[in-house]
Amino acid sequence: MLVLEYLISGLLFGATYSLVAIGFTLIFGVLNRLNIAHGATIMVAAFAGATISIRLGGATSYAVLALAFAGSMLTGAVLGVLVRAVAFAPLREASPLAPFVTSAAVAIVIEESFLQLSRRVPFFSPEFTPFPSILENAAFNVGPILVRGAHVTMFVVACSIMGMLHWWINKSRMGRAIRAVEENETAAWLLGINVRQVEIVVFAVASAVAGAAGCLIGMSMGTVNPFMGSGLLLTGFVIIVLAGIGSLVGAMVCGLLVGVIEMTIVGTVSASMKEAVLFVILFAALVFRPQGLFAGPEAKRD
Amino acid sequence: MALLDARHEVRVNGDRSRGNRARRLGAEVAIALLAVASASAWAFQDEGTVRIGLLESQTGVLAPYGIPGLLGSQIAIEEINNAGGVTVDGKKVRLAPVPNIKGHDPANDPAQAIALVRRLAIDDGVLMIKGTSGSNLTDAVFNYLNELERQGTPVVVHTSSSVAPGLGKISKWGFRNSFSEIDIVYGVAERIQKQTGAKTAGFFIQQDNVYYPSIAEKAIMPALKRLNIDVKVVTDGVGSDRDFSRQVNALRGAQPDLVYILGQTLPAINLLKEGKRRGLTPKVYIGGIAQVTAETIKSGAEAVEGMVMASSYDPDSPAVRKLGDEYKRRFSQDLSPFVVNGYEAIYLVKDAIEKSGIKNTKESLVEDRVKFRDAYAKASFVSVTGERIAFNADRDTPRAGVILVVKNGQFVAWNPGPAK
Repeated sequence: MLVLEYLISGLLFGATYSLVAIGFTLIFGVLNRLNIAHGATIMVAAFAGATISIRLGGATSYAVLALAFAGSMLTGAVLGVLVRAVAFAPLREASPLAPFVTSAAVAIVIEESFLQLSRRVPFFSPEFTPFPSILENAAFNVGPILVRGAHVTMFVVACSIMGMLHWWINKSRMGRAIRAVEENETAAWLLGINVRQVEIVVFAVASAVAGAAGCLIGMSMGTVNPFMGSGLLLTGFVIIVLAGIGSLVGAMVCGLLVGVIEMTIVGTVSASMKEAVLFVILFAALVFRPQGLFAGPEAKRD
Repeated sequence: MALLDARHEVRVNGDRSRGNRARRLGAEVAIALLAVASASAWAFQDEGTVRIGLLESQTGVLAPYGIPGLLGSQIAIEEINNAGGVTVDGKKVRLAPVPNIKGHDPANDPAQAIALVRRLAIDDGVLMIKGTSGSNLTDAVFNYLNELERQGTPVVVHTSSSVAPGLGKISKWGFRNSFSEIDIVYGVAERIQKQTGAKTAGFFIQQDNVYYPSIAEKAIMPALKRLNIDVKVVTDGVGSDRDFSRQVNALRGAQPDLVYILGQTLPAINLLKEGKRRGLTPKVYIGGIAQVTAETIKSGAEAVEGMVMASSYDPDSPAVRKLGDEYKRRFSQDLSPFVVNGYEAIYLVKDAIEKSGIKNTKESLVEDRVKFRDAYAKASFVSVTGERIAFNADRDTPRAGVILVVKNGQFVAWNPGPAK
């Protein structure tokens, strides 16, 4: 019965992993470059949510929690656009590795800035800062299984965002433009698509989704800290490789899968084994299906 | 075309000439700065200063421990200097932190820490170094001190935030005043058993920090065995764990009277929160010095109420409270053991400097360091915690410690009344 509980918890928590991976893969799809500052974006957005919750009383109000969530998404979007302007836009013609390095540098600068900020802002704390939430102690039993209210909220919100994103990418005009740029940037430009604008929108949306993930994770954990994004970046990377780089549906499904695997390993074997197992799975995927579990032939890149 | 070329030539030559002048001026300024820098780099008794190196992690994952340690030391240095400084060779001199009051930052990089120790010891000629932060860095640096000794340039390094057992044995030049819980584990367990009549215990042990499995195996479990307390369950985790349902389920299954939480602040808080959600109610939750932080109260809220832990000081004592007020006024943060230890370390340094009989000159530096080391090993003073602090043979500062409990969102001395 405990295993079933871990499976359910993993599935619920895995939805936030999906959000992390979707943002990661959206940017890669359009630019063909990895945004290493994605983890830092998650962290900053989580801090924004925590700040709203601390200052306005998120421990006792659903409305404040909703405001914190909106604040996190907005912060993520703004920061994403800034990261693009600093780490990607000036390097369009540079080596593909250049934005990897610049975005990593931006991530370090952001993390260290928040580390310093954490010890200067009175309501932050040097080690980690609380994210008060009315959902903190909410839990209910389904038979013998205990389910956390925060996890259910995370799952519902994350799935709603994924659903909206899926519709937006497949049905909206901008979504079609994004897919065109993903497919062939030059051809898209020749068809009159403003590639630069598409890039900006993708960074904003992907980073807003990252912000949502940061807020949900911070809310569920009850704390945020300057390095929380680094670990999530690694998980996000495993998910997008497993799914197939550029595959949105794959990122959604594999995020849930990784959540379930992680929680089950932690629950049944050992917490110290979870990363080792994740990397064994990643290794197996790279050996037996290097294009990823969800990549079609059209996702193959140069 | 020729005219254009000639003009171009003139401009180029002019630029070159200006460039040469600028380079020459730059070189002169650099030489002048170097002269000033080297003069100040060797300021000793004549200048009215005694130089101590500051080396604490201010960036990266060790910053939460390094920064409070540094700030505690800063307060002590300023207090001592404002009171006239330390007495060396019959003369009052100021403590001069090197490179400055903000210190060097080795982040979480042992190689960088070693390079900075070398620089402070050999290039900057400091009498001693206050640092480093965290057991891994300190382990590397203390081993390097043996190498410096072989090279004939040994220097004392004092850490106030490295708790791993055995660090003090590495080098006779490595000292620390980090609180060692090992010394008081038995006393704490015995007192809690008398109070609660506990017969069984369960453990949560954070495995990715060598300190916690080590203290469990070497100190707590043997102590419980002596007290006939049966260890019913041991569950583990890592610092990055986000969910503690497995651990709480394991503990709840065994229903121990005592639950030991051997982990850093965040995993401990998350375990307690999960315990509250799942109705895990031992007679007592027992934490450690890692839990005596403002974060435990701020983030743990009601989940940490009632947890007891051993600490090096009572936050409610007047002197500690005064230091806490000063720290909060200056740095807008709450006091932690790392601040107190960093503060205390500088007063140990003061005591040793004044008793060492050093000359504090460039020529006497090597001899002074030996004298300082010998005096430091015997240094002693009454700390802000109210306890007399002195080093033992392993260059640690054993303490009686106090048992604290979280009560109404504050750490207070554990005073549970008559035994049950």
